[in-house]
Amino acid sequence: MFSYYVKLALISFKRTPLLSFLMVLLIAMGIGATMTTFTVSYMMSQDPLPSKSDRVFSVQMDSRGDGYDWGESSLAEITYMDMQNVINSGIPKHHVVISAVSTMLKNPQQQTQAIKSKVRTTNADFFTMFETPFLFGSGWDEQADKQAQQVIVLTKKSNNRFFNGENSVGRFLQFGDVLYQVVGVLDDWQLMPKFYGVKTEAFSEPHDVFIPFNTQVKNELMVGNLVNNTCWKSYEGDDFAAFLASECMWVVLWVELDNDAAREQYQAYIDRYAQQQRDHGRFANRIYNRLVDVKQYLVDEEIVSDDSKMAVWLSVLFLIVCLLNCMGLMMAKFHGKAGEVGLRRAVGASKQHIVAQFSVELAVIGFIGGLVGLILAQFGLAIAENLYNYLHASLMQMNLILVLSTLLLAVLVSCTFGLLPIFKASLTQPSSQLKSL
Amino acid sequence: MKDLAPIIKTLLKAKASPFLLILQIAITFMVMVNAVNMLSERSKNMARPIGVDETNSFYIQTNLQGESNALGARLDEDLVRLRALPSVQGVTPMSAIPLEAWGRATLINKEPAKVFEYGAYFAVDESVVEVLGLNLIAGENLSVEDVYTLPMDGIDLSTNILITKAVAQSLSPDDWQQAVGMTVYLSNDKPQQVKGVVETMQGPWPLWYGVEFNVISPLREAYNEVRYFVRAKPGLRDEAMEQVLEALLKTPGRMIEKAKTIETLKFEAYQSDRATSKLLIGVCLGLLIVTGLGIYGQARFSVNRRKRQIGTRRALGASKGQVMRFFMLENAVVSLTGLVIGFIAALSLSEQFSQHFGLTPVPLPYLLSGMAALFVLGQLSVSYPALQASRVEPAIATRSA
Repeated sequence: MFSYYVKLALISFKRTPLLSFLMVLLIAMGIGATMTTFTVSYMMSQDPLPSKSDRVFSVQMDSRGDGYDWGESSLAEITYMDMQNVINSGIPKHHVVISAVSTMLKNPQQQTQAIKSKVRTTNADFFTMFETPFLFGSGWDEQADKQAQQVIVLTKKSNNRFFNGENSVGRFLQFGDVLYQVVGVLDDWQLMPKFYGVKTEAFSEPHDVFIPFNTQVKNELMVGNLVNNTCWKSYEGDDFAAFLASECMWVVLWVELDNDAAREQYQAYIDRYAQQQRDHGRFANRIYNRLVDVKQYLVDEEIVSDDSKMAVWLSVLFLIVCLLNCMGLMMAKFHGKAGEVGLRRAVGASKQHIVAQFSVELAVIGFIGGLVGLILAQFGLAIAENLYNYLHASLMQMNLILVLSTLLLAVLVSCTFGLLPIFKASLTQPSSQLKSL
Repeated sequence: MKDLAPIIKTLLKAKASPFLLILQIAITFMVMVNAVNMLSERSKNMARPIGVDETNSFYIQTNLQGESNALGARLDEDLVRLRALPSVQGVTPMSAIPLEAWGRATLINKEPAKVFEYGAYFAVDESVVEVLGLNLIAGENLSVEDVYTLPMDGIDLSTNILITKAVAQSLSPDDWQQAVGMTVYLSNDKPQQVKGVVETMQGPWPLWYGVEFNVISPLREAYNEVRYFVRAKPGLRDEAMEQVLEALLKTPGRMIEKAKTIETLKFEAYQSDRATSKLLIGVCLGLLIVTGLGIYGQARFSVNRRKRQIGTRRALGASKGQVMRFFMLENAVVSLTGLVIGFIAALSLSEQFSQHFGLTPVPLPYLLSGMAALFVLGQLSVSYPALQASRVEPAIATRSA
């Protein structure tokens, strides 16, 4: 029966090609626009760490003592002292310290200009906690962290730039005026959103290279504008040691806690720590320690922009207008088929048969509309990639789930909006149509 | 107009198709006026003056080298060298640049330790008004005697400061000129004297509500990272940028972190707004095309269906013009109904948007001109099918179906 209805639907297309073409086009336009904006928004609000986003937390300790009431808000950064004091608790499975500097990099064996690069400063756990894939070598070990060794990990892109994509492990890179030894090269790797750093870079590529945080500290590499730095209290002295000892909040700390028990234990630990500090005169405002998991962090920091949410709503309304339009065409189409319906009814088809026949016809139209819409959405995404050229291109790519849901959505909405026209068509009285034949 | 009653009767009888059209027009109107409102809000934002000479200026972010107590001397060397360049009109060191998206936020308070207003903090030297091209509208300009040179974070000193008019208005709402001479407290709770008021200077974050709330402090921060704001002689910007870079690079170990014109900076600062604007225009165009086609299609369909009826009317003496008017009027009724519903819907959507996204509500002129535009679109779309209807021959009435 189903294949018979499909056949009937195809015959019907041939009979009214313009009308059918317009219906397909309308559905395709609406679906194309909706899926374009939805893809961008969906890819933006993805879970960056699906395997453990509920177990990775941002450690936020509001150590300010400026006498203000800061309400619910807290900062994503903590002081260097507090970071040093809490990372030896042994409770979390991993600690990841995040900061950044910028520098000039070049391959010392090449006669080229040094290139200004962004440097992520972190620790060995970064590579294990985020499970980064390696093309060559590996991350540095804890020994390197402890001794603040001059080791460096490159992204695939910077390895291509400085070493033409060769295995560079063991070779040296000139970092400012000193040499750092390459220990690993990452394979293609992108967290989306890249939540661990500053919010303005959530949809851009990882920094060019990675070095140990302790090496940054040892070499007194001052943080520039790649990190947020809140200095609410002035400090004596102007050297790097004074900066480290200051109340400036500039270090981001992430921890991985295996389960709720560990989480509670860790919360209690940092609360106890803050209380001790308060007893010594720090944390004067209040004790406000938060462990914010990745999903909550994305919400708190407003990583997904209002604009992209708004775009989805606008395109959904556009889809509805297209479908209303299409519905008018369906009415016209079925109206023209009253004679056929009358005949089919007269020779024994029930109302249900008529409903089934037209539903299949609309589903076929919806499916074709979905296919064309998918193609239009690819164009739309290509335009979006151009429009949002400051965002990472992978945001503008559909995955299989999105492709399938596009088709499903197209079929579903065309049938939903077809309910009324189908119902009206099924009411056709056989006698009224047969009279004039 | 005597056609009106039969038109309404037919529409009520037909129910479904005109209802669809009404709904479609309503949604199109609702989305369109809101989208246009957002577009104009964005373009207004982008058109706001930064307050500085946009066409002739650029900035350089670079490093100073040496022990911290020697950095002040390094800064002087740079400034002397840059100010001597023939294409350069003026140079000032700045702790942050308007619209750069990086800077120092500060509290601006009338009494210590009380949140009054947030703004951005700029540390500069006495030449700032002249170099940036700011418009000093009250009080006095900064002088050399006001200026301190510090390694970093001069926010901890008590100084004479300049504020923007927006800050002055908020400090002294009745008469903003009274703000001159007032004592204000910044984040560190040190008293600062307001020496003068400048008309506008935008802060580092263009999308922040506090973009106009800025404090300018005469502190030269001689730190290992500095920014030079350079204003070139009129028309010589690109030349000046080349000369400045060349002069700076004479120092060994010099790192140029950034070198950007203010025009580029502004262009980049609003890139997401521009992208969204284009998207909004796309949605509006799509809606207009689809709705126009929809009206056209419906009209053709109904003309085709009513051929005999039209023929009969023509045979009974209706003129071509009368037939055409009938269809135009029918569309007018449908459009107006849709627009009235759309009007209400647009207001409620605008209400939602202003609540969730902090947009300003759609102003009445937009709503009215949007209605007019869609009405005209409807009449245009229906005109061709109506013309065809008027060409139906009266003889058709005599033929059997």
